[in-house]
Amino acid sequence: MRTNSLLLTAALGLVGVAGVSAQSVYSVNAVGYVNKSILPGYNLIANPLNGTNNQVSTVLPAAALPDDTECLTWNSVLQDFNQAIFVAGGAWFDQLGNPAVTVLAPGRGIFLRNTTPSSFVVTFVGEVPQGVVNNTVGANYDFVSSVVPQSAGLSTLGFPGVPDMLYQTFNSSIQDYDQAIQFIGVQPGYPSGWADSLGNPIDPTPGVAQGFLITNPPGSPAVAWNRTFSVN
Amino acid sequence: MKKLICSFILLAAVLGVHGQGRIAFANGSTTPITNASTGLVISGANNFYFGLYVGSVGTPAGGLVLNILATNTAIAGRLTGGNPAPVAAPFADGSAIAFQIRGWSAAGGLTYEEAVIAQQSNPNILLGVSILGQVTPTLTPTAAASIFGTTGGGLVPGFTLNAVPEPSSIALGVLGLGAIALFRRKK
Repeated sequence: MRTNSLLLTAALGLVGVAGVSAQSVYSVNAVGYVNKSILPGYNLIANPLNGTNNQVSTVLPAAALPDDTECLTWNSVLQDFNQAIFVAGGAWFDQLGNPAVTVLAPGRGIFLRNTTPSSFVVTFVGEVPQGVVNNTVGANYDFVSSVVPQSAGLSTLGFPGVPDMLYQTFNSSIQDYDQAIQFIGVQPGYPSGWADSLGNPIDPTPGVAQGFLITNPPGSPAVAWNRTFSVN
Repeated sequence: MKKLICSFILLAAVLGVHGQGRIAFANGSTTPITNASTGLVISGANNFYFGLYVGSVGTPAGGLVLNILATNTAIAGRLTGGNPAPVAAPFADGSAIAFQIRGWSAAGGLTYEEAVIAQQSNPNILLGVSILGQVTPTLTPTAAASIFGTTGGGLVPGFTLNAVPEPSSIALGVLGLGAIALFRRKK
């Protein structure tokens, strides 16, 4: 699965002038795009950029997708997927045939199902989330991603591992989850705290726009995944 | 390593908690439902019912029982009973099942068997059955198993609803009625 990411522009934008004091307020907004290859079958991906409203119709314009493309979002309360939405005739619909208004916010892992025999590329366009970025890893199963479009080890991304937590990516080539990586705690020989299925130290490194499955150990509550990020 | 094994047992425990098999009871543009009378795909939301009839692998069509009820949507040719749709007991454990999708005009009633009877006096009622399929419902956190498809073995392509009952439709209706009568007698 090839991921190309490119920050197009670091736009310095004048967003407002504060009235009487005439004090200028500036905002640095980094906008760009991310290309993501979608293989036949299920692909565990994530929206890496903030769009206008993050609704599926703007994040993944249906006109650019084949009919029958499906999108699955996870309901961490119900511990199951929400009802799938799909593309028909260049628009997104819910299961009842109504226009879909599903929100695909950065930080959430989603499955995109390519029902054709060929790969295609989706392009995410938007703004890089900056400042304090908040995410939550739900109890039991949850599908998450880095809120910011950055490919780095979970330790660098400030991911809040807890003992016995499992990390799994989805391998679209074989349409199954990869071997689980387990958090065993930061200790000698395990600087990141993570170990692969053979017990070797590893720092899981999700790609840009890649979602992953986290299995919280039974009884473990949801955990906050907050960090401060700036493109500068 | 011992701890890792324990973790995978814990994972199995989590899986056990959420261990209800689910299927995607929804078709797509390549697997539409057609109305033989018009030669077009069906239209008009909720004008038709579709039942997922299931049984153990190897069960003939006459032995399958209604498990999930669906309707057609506002999108022509499409039906949905949910994606994901949990398979009800006693077929909820995620084991492989045989299935058949049966469709009928909503005016015919809430089961295929009722619709077969209703068609005797109302020829406008349409009936249709899919081929026999086989599927293994999936457990979370895996996406629901598809039952419609044009390539995979055991999957069902689209099918047609007819005004004139096919012999197989009548036989299924008679078998269904027989089962209901037997059930009532035992009760």
